[in-house]
Amino acid sequence: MANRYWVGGTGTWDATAGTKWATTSGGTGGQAVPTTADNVFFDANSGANTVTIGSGTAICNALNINAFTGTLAFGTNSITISGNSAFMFSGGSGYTLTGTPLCILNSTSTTGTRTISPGGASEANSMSFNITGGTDTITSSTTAGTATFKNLNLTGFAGTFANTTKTIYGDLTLPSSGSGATISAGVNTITFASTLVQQNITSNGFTMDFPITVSGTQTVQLVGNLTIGSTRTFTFTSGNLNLNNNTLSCGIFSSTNSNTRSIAFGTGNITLTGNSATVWAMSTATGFTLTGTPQVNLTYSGSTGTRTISHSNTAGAVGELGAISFTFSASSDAITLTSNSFIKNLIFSSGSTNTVANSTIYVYGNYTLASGMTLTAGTNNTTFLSGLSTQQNITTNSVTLDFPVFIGASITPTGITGSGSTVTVTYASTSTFPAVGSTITVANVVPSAYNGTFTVVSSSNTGLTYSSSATGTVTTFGTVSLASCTVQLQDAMTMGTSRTLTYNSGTLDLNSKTLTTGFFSANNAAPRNILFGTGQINVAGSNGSVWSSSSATTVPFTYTGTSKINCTYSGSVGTRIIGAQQQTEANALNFYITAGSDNFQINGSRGYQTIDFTGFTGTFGLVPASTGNAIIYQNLVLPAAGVATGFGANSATYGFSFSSATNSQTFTSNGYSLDTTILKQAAGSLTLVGPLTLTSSVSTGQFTLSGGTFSTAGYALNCAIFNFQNTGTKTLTLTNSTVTISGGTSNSGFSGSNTNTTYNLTGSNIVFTSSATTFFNAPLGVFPQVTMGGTGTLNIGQASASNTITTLTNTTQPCTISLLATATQLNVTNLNLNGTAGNLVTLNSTVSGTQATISKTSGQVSVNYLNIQDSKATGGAAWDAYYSTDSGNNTGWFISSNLSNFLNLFDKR
Amino acid sequence: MVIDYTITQNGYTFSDALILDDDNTLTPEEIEAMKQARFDKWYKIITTPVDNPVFQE
Repeated sequence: MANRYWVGGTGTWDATAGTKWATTSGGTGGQAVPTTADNVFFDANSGANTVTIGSGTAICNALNINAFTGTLAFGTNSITISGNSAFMFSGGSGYTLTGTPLCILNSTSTTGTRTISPGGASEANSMSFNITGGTDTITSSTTAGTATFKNLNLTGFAGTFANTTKTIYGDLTLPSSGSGATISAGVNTITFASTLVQQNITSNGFTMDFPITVSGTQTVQLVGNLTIGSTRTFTFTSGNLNLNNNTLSCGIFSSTNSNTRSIAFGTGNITLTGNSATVWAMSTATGFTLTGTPQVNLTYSGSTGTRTISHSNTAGAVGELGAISFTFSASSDAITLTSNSFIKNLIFSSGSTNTVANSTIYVYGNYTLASGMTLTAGTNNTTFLSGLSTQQNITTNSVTLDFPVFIGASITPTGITGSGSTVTVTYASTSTFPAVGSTITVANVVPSAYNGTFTVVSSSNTGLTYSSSATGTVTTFGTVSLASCTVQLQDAMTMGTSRTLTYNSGTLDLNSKTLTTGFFSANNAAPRNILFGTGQINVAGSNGSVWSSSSATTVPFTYTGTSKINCTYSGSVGTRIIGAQQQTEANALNFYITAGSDNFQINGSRGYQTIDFTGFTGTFGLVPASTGNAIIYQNLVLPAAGVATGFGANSATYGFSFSSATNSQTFTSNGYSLDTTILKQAAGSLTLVGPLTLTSSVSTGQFTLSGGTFSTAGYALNCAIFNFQNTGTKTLTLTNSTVTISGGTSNSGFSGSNTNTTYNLTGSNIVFTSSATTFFNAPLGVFPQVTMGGTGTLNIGQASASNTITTLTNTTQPCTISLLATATQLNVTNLNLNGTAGNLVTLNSTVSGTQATISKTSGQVSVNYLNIQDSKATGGAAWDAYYSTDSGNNTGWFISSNLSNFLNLFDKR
Repeated sequence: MVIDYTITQNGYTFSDALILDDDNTLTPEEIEAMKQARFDKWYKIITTPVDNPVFQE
């Protein structure tokens, strides 16, 4: 074995010896061309010359170019190094390599160690190595600086590849599968760092049990699956990582930085096998993007320690486009998802018994829990808010979500400026800023020209392109929300009873399952749609607004299926409130208050389908601050008789409006007296189920019929005022019912309109019990019986109209029946007015000195103890008043102060 | 395999689904027991009043 030093200046390493080679550095040339037995040196004494590598002629035992300052021009040729011990190659950083520099190590040695010491060459001057044979050991040294490689190809090698620190700027190809080679484990890192070319990693099924770092600017692509040890870290610092549809397995994946970097998943995935560590570390995802289906599988199956997933938990959130799916295999250790992590699918496989810490996370895909696992309770929310997916599925497998849940995103701008073609919206939090490419809806902005659908074009917290050319100064702005996808329950979903489900946007598909939460809040102007199917929502919270929802006219809150919302709290503490949106009839919701002995209040000026208190035993009423009646589109059922306290002193002056355009509504008051007003409006019908009693207060005890059909169904109705003085098309059915009017004024009591009114009055009795003045007016109806049961004054009649009462009677004395002076007449069949001695019943006109007409077509009228004044009795009947007083201006009456005088008169007649 | 089921007890209705592997070996009795266990867990939550919410968001 001899040494050969290049002294040939600029020339070619070929088969011609010439004076190119010396035996010593800078020595005299003229030695033979190096053979496989010779060590070749290019050093400082070789000069800054260019040496061209000839084709097939550059061979040696070992090669040392560490101190060379010239250029080795490889073209497409290579140098073959045939040695089998010690340093096979010593490189440095002072030379230049051109072409495709390649050294082929072709020894077939079975023993010893071949060392490659590439030195600290730059990427441009790094050398490629092919290890084509041998079962010995290949290692690299950093004694001459960082071990930098271009390509490192071990195809044909069957020995041991030692773990050393390397930087590779080209491809890494491990020995062929089945070669028997050993890839040693260790802590030394291989770094892929090219800034010039794509790098391919071909592991051929070998486990690379050492750390790997990707830190270049180009693509690092897997050729086949890549597996590194379960305790090792794959660090992704920059560049592009192309899984090329393969699986990258590592203990830990770390990519916490702000560099530009991306992962091309394709259909591949990253499998994390580590535990007791932050196995996915991307706490800062600024600059991170991805393509393909971003799937990360976590396969640790033990119970030790805590695995932490950190995906963009700081400002500069990646949003939906940067969210990654995490699937956990069955395991039982603790899991932490760091706050503000952005996740696509979060899946815990069957058999998982993990305990998952409570943290704020954003889920853009499916959410699947395992039946044996535990989600720690807490106040940090989980938000489902995809703007790109068509559907997100939630499968809880009976695991309780004892933390707040948000569906959809509601982003309140803190400022909105701009005009012309661009509107800039600033968000309160960048963590909820919608993903680039998603759309958001802006509503309730003044001027309204700014309302519309926007496409997000920037991932910063400003910059939405507006689609019109509207101009103006925006003074007020409303909620900006994602036009979100469908969130569908795959099984029953149960949240903690002190937690709130906040529903901001998109479609909530119960999929006919039961959703249970403490509180349900849906107060914004975004489009929302609940698909109930046959499912139900239970709100089990207490002492708060258990249901609160609102809507805007332009973006209504809608639902399909049969809505059923059960308020199930069974305790006695605090006040529960429901406030459904002011909504069209089709979108009003059904509420069932199934339990509780607390206070329960209904927010007025809101629309409800049915409100059913069956099962409730506390105190119920309207929210005192209500600004209008609660609107009922179906049924109102009050608690079972006697078990609750309702609509008393703490109630608002407003009550209920039965307002269906089509439904047959019912009102079951179960004997509770309501200190509220009742309005029946619209074209549907309302039928009482049992007697109904309103307060005697004129201000709150009013029952008003303005449209549709109202039927007492034979039950008693007690109220201060019954009013149907309007032009609405309406049917009043009082068949076989007693309607007791306890209040009234000179023109209110039981009063109606001629217009569009249909009467069903058979067997009815309108009873007035006021001790003051009240009023009866129902001109087109034929009322079987009107009864004065109070001690005040009952005014009867309508101007220029005839009223008809079959039987007008009284049950109290004294009292006054005062006929409207301006009415045409009052038609009666039976006038059963009777006072007693000293307690006369007064029959007079509402205007003193002006007669009011009462008419009966035939027969005889006999009354007793009346004080009659300004009365014109007519129609053909005989009008006789016994023990009565004629106070003047009467005609048609035969009035006697006692019976004998009357008989005397009768005899004369 | 998805098994939808509904259990109504004492006026409370629970609509849920068991999502099982297609090749599961559970007996009908075990499946019924799973349904009842999930209902019982839910029923306990919904019928146990929490008077003073720890946190209302």
